[in-house]
Amino acid sequence: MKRLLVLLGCFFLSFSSFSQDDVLSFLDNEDEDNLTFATFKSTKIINLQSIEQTNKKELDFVISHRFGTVNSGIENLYGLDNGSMRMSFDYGLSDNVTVGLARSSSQKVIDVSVKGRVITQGRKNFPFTVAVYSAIYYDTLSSVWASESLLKNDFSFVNQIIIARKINSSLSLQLSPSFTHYNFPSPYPWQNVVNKRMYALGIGGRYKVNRSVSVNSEWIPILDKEEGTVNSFSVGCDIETGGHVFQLFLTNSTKMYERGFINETLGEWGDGGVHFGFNISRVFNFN
Amino acid sequence: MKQFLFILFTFSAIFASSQEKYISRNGSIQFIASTPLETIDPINNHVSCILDTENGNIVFQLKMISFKFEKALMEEHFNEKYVESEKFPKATFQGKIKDWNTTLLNGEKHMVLAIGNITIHGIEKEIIVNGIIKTNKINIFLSSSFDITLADFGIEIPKLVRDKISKTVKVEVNMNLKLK
Repeated sequence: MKRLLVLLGCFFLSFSSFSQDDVLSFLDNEDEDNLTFATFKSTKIINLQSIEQTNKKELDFVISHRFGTVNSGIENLYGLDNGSMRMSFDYGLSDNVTVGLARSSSQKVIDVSVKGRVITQGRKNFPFTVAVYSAIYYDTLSSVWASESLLKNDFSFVNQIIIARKINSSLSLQLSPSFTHYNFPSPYPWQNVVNKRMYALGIGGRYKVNRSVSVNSEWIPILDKEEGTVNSFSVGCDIETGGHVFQLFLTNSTKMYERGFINETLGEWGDGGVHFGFNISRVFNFN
Repeated sequence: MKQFLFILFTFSAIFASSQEKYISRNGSIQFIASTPLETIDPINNHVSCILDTENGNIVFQLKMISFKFEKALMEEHFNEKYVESEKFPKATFQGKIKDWNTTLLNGEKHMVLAIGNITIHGIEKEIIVNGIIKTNKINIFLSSSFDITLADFGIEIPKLVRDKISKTVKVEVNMNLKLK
């Protein structure tokens, strides 16, 4: 009886092996990593760098504006009459390394930056994407203020670690611990220490409303905040149309470079120190 | 008992070898959705396929994310906005080659029809496609070319880019199957 059962078992096993569901699972290559993509739509959340990179041999040209305060009245068209702007060029050396060059009209700052992705969410089931971002800022105006007009006094630096997780296809969250170093005696009334160092924690996220639009927000608490400054807070939306991403938002920061919006934000949301702003990104392909 | 086991193994070996299955894990499928404004012709070189030469049953499977585009941004939009690769990671075809018989494997080129169900973007549809089958001593070559309509699979083209993406997509299949 036992033998008969074994024989019958073998018989059915060898015939049932070509049911089509079995075939589909047989065709699966489960050892491949499913790498996460499109955690954010753009290389910026709003002001903060997002985890996204410019792809290899692509140039991302971003033009940004921050206008005057929204409560400045109809005579100033709610702030739109005053504005500062920034142009930035980011080029993908590889899919994991981006270099950037930018100039901002606020304080006439030129910056160069590099962003490198260390690991992508999904590689060997790793839960986060991690990148590092580093920028050097040259204040073309600061030598006017500095007591000694030394070239080294015109520089400042920001280093960030970017940790992001795409929780599902709609929701992505990011943490950006940041470190700022000022070489120069700052011109700002709230700061008179040479070689000032500051630490901050950027927190940001996005929620996709539909396939082309997402709502974004970010908050950047400073750990050792100087009197007179406030933490940067912004909220807005991304609209993606083929090769362009339009980012429209409200923010209390007018500076568009990391050192400025992290450490030197002065506008209070509660007092109407809120500015309308936008970033428009256009990608050019050199493949 | 030993004799019995020996017979059992021989039998199971015979059963196994009588299943003439040809497979491939690196077949290619290209689709062309180009318009005068934009060239869209990505290719996927990791298509799996299995053909049972006993009855002509045939199954294709591919990962949407394996389609490689010339422009990285286009690839991202394809996966993120159009086929929603995170929700629907795979496309499959499960069907049968019509009027299957062993003369199709005699080395000549034969025109055949494949009938079955194709699943893209989570939507299953019955489909009949033309194909060519050809064999040499080791391999079976399959090729096919057919059109699909994106709207049939719930893939919408936003109005802003409707002039850039073709509403019907030409699909080209090339497979080189080896005995398992």
